[in-house]
Amino acid sequence: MRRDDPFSRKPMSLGAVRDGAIRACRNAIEMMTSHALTLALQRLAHGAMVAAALLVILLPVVLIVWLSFFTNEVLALPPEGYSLRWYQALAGQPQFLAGFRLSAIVAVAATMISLLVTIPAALVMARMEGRGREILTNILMSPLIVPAIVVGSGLYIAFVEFEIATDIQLNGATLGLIAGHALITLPWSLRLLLANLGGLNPALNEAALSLGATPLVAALKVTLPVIWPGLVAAALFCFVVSFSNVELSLFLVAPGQTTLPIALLQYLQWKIDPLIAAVSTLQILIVAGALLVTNRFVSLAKVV
Amino acid sequence: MATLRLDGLGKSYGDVTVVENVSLDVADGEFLVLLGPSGCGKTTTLRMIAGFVEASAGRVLIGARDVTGEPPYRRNIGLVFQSYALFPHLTVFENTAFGLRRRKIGEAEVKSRVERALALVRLDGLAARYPKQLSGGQQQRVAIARALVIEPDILLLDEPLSNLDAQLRIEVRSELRRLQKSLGITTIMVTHDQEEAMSVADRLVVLQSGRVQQVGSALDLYLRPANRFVAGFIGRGNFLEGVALEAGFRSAQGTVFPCGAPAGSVGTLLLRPEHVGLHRQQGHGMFAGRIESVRFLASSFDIAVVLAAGDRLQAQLPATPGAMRENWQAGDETFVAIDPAAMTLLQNDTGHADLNSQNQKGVSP
Repeated sequence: MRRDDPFSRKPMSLGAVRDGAIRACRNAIEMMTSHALTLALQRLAHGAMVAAALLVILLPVVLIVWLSFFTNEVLALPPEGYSLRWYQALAGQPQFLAGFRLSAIVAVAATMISLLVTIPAALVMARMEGRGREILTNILMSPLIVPAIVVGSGLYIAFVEFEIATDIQLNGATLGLIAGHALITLPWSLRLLLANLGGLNPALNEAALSLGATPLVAALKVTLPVIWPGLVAAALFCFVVSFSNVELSLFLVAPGQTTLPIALLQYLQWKIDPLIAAVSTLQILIVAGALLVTNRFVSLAKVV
Repeated sequence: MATLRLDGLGKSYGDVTVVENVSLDVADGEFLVLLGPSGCGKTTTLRMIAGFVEASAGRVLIGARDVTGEPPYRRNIGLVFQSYALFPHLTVFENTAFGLRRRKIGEAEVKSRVERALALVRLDGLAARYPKQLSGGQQQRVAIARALVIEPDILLLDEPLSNLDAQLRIEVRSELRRLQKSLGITTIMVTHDQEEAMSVADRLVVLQSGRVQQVGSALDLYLRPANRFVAGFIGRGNFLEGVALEAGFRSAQGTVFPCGAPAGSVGTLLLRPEHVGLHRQQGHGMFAGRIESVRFLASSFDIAVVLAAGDRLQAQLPATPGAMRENWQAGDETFVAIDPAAMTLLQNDTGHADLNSQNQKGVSP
């Protein structure tokens, strides 16, 4: 019997119609509730995953801040009590302040060099196509391929040779550190700028020119403001990459000429106490502050 | 406002010639459209006028001023881009004022000129918005206001309507035309859309492979196309290969069409589908044939007819009540009437034609 064929269907009795309608309603309600249940479960699973991810990311940060207020010298749970003694103890450790100063100087300088190199490079590369662009990208990204510790040892040897040849000392000098850090921040800045410039319409520049702007004015008044958020993001990344670098700096620092991460490492070789946590907490505050301030000017969520 | 003259303009990249010997005179206040398929050199020509592409040969003159060697920012040309190219970090007001600020014009005058320009494109009241807060049509109008406010000698439009949806496109193009005429500004537009071109242009320039095929009004190009390319690009056509004899044009299949062409010339006969009439009864000068297929396209019927000798013709009948009643069906006997005045003989550019292979191509859109 072909029940599905609407043309061959016999007229139904009133009772059959009513039964059919009731059955259909019941099916619909069942489907709806099971559908709603699935949705609720999905939402729950999604929420749990987000919470777990946040926990993994934030737990170390929270722990460090917590630890920095412990009274006890040897790390143990539960803490004996809470105090600010480790923050006070920082005053007796001038190497951290000096390290912070050097790290900041190196990070700012490396960031500036990276931007000076990668802004023009990215502007040109954004308009290139095919093999040329690929080759240039690979060359400029290559410091990322080699582990930083290898780059560091290579630079150390190169700087020694350089010193023999020219009598200019780079190892243990701020200049050498800056050069090394510029090398590892460059790929980050290039990647971010290229991603940002991908959305830059080349017609914008032409529009400015056609309206009477010279190439310089067009760059300052149109291109620069348009790529500004990407620029800030790139600068921020460079700064953080340089500021937190250990492996490369390890080869290029000298006694009395140490970056903050190296100073921390050296301290850790002798002692593990909440002083380290106190330094880290200060560092977290500075970075978080920088992020918040930057976010006021450009919406970081849009570019990173 | 000024005249524009292109004098033997050419562009080649190495061995590849993109634009070859383009010479045009554009009158003051004229709306000229460069029309052609993609890759025909129309955009390159526009960019040479704007100054973004350096000409390999020839000159560009605005009025009496030779601007061939001038950079774009010294040409005083208004340009509207396909992508609008509005500055995303500036408001509608500052976008429009950009060109005026480069000209070091006083703040009071900038304000009044920008306001006037925005009123002209009916955007007053939106001056404080940013481009991304506007619809596509509104962005387009800001781009037009920005190009017009500097009072350019020439206005260039690069496919300005192709990013708009169909309904809006028709609205904007008639507005563009009205604006251009009321300001009397010399305008060059580039497009690949023949309908768009015909609806706005005073004169059209049909380009193919970097060369000007024909210059003229839309009607000129339709009635007297210089070659098969132009005939196929402006309107549609049936193209029949054949030879002109004493009695008329003899197609490769053997049908003789009574058109007054000089005997002996080999060429292509152009018959517009809309000039092909279909009748039930035989009449004077009609060709017997059979309907092959019928397609109804709301405003017209597209009907393919095969003549007794084998020639295939495409006919386009307006969907009048009469045509509805006629109700042509595939397989119907028919008699085809064509006004001899509507037959155009195109000389073959290639010299000789392969008479058998090209006859069956039928209509090219």
